[in-house]
Amino acid sequence: MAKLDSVAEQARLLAVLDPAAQDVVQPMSDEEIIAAAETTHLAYVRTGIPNVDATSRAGLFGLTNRLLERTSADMGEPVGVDLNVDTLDFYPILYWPIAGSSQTLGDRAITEINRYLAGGGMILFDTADQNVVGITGGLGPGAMRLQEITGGLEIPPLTPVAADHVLTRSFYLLKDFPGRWVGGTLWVETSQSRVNDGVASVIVGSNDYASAWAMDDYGQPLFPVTPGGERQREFAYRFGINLVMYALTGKYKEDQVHVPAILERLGQ
Amino acid sequence: MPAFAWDGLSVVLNPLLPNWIMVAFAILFTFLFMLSLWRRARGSFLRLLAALTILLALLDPSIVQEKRTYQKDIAVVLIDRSPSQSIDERDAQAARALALLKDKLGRIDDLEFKVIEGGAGPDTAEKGTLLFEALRRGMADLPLARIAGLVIVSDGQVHDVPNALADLGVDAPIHLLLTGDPRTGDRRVELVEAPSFGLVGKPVEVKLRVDDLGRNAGAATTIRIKRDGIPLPPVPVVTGRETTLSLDLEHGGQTVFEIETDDGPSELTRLNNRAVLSVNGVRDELKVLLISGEPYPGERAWRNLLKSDPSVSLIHFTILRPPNKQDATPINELALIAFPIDELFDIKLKEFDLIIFDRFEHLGILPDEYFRHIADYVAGGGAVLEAAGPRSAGQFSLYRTPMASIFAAMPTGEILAQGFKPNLSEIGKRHPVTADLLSDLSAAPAWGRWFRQLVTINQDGEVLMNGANDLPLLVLQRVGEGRVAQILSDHLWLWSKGFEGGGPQAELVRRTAHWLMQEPDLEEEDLRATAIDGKLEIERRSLSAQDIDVTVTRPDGRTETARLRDIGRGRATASLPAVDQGLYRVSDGARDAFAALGEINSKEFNDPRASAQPLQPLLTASGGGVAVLPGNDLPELRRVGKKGDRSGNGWFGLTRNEDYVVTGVSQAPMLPPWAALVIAIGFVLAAWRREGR
Repeated sequence: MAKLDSVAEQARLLAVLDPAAQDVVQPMSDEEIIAAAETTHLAYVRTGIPNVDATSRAGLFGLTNRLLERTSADMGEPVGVDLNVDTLDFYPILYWPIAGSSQTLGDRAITEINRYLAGGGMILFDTADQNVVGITGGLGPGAMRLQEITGGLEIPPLTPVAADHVLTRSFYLLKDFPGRWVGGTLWVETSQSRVNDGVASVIVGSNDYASAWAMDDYGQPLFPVTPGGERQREFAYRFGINLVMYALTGKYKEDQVHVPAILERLGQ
Repeated sequence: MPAFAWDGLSVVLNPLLPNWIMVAFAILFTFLFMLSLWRRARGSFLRLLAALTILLALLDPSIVQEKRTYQKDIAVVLIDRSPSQSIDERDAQAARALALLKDKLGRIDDLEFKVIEGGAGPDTAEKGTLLFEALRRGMADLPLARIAGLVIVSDGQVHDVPNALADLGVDAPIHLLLTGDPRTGDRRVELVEAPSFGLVGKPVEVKLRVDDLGRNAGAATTIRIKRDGIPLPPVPVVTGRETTLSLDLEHGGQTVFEIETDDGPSELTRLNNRAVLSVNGVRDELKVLLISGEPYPGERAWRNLLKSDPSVSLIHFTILRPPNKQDATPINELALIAFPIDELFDIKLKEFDLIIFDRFEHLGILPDEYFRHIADYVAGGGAVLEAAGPRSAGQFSLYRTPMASIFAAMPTGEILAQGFKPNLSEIGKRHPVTADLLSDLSAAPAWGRWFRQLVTINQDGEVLMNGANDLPLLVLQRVGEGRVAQILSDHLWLWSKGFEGGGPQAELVRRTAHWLMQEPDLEEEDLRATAIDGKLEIERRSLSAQDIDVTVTRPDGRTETARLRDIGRGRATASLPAVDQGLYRVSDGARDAFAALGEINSKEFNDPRASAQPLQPLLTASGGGVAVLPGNDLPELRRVGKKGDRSGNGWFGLTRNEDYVVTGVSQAPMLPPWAALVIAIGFVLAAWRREGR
């Protein structure tokens, strides 16, 4: 995977070097597509800021490890996507850190993201500013930045996650959704439409999830989490696993509530 | 011009001077007359007479006589040509009556007649005999004032009798010559309540009654029923009493029931001893069990596809955590439930209409017994769809269980990771599941690519779609009573995501699933017939392309051969004219198809007895009479006045309307000027002489 990534990297580097080709989108090669479709990959949006991208990658790496350890989901390596170039169809969920990012979206990227969301894709926007908001209140810097970035996107109306939302029981039973910080409200798309079985396409949080999930190659956490320590980190992973299960199985767990009744009815 | 008239004669005044001068003269003469009376002059009255004569002469009265031509009256003969007239000798009686009527009417000098026929038509089963509709059309060009009478030759079963005589606009007697013997009874079957659709596997209730018209109820008889041409056990019924039949629908789509009673003690027609009922079978909610081996992006694609099908009730299980991946999380912090294997794969297994295995692996934890159950379930009429995943060639795949016996395509163990466009095979282009997925069968599909292909060797399945290297991608197979489909790639979800434009994944899955659940519309070998708007449409579906002859049996038992032309996509069709009401049977040797044309209860033959009853109010209101034709002579036709009796024992009246047209006038002056002069001078001379005495 890493090797393929670097191939793609080189292709993009070449595109950058050739000014005429700068705006030309390089379609993914068949090898890249095969690798992307072969197994499930968590994906993050590359912001261009090395620190942020490294944390995203380490976070998804950590979450991928936990998924492999604890669930039957067959996960590949995390993938960083360039919104202006890459095809998003292969990724069930896109982690999009907002803090400090400065990228702007081209028209193609906006079209592609809207198509991705309409086709059953899911984006977790992480404003990662709960440490600021928790103290000062009001709108954090990440939330303000989020509003700027998502101007052209078809973001549906959002509502705080209800206590009985599938996210609270898609694998683990959860009451709240901590990351590196705690206390931030998790926002999800109002589940009313019949499109995509009513599964939310947009989730917005502020608890800096990638930092809590982040681990190095030896499985050691990279950042401390506050205030709950390792217990909080465990719950951050549980949220991550619930989130990926939600992205992969939709409202499966919500429907399952009715299964005993349906089974009971069968054969009568 | 003032006029005074009496029966064609009239007196007309033509004053020579304006009216006011005439009045002035009249006043002057009156004054002079008064003056002479006062003066006691002699000859006053004679002078008055002279003056009046002059006045009268100035008014110039004349007698006018009209020349009138009296019009012939018109008798209308209305002949019932409805299907019920074909019973027994009714048509012959009607023909004889018409000939006699023509003869008799032709001999009446001041009478014309017009013969109007009506009651026939393609919709008599639905609407019955519409005789007055024909009458109105036929009388449109007749002057209604000249109509002397109306003679209806019919069995009396007319279904559009006007409520009031005035609605017809004719003031003339209406007579009925009744064809058929009103004493003969008839047996009929009447469907009181018949559903047009029902649930497959559940009985539909049909309420019917056998009547012996003209007889007392209570006789025992038998109802014979055929379902799609196959006899069911006979049902005893009692005439006049409503019976409820419980009829089972064995398959979806049209089921044709023929219901027939034994002959009654007297029969006018057997057409109403039979009823044909076409019931559309629909499936109750289809219970689909989806078992996903692991969470992956395609899982939601399956869920979306199945949950958006309103006829499907989905039960979904995913293995979220395999048994070998335990962590220390307390059970009350997990939202996981145990997989109810016993319940799904044993106890409730047969209740499912379709089981979908989506990237399923048994992980070595399920005993072979369960898979044997599933294989038995399929052979007994169940359905399995296997959507293969990357490990379907592995040791825990379904192909390494007793379920392998139901699969047509067996994995070799090799998996291709390369881009390919799914395409229809030659059979796929004719199979109802896939034939309509492409709008242009000759062009390559514009669908997005898939990137994983399980290499299999197809043994005896039907390969509808090909994948990488033209390997089988969608394989269908019948196993015993049941059906199995294999999709040998797990990349269907790339179409759902719209990758490279996506593809017809929803239609493909819906059609495959419904074929698996034995939806009759998706049978690859099928024969269908529908009768509508006077046409019998025959369609045969087949995987082999050829024109084929079918035998068509019409309601009256005549058979003919029709050639079906192959029109591609697995269809061969023909269209035949079909007018007769009843059941059409089409057979291609292997299959029979039935089509019912017409109403389930024919209004025309609902009561086929000859009876004056329906027309009686109209006859009475118009003063007309009834004569029964069989065994009797035609009644005498009499001209009658407008008032008085219009019919009687042995005679029908035709009124004299004495309608005329004025063809000219003759005029004669009553007081020619010379006569007026002589008379006036005579009075004046007489007055003078009287005065002179």
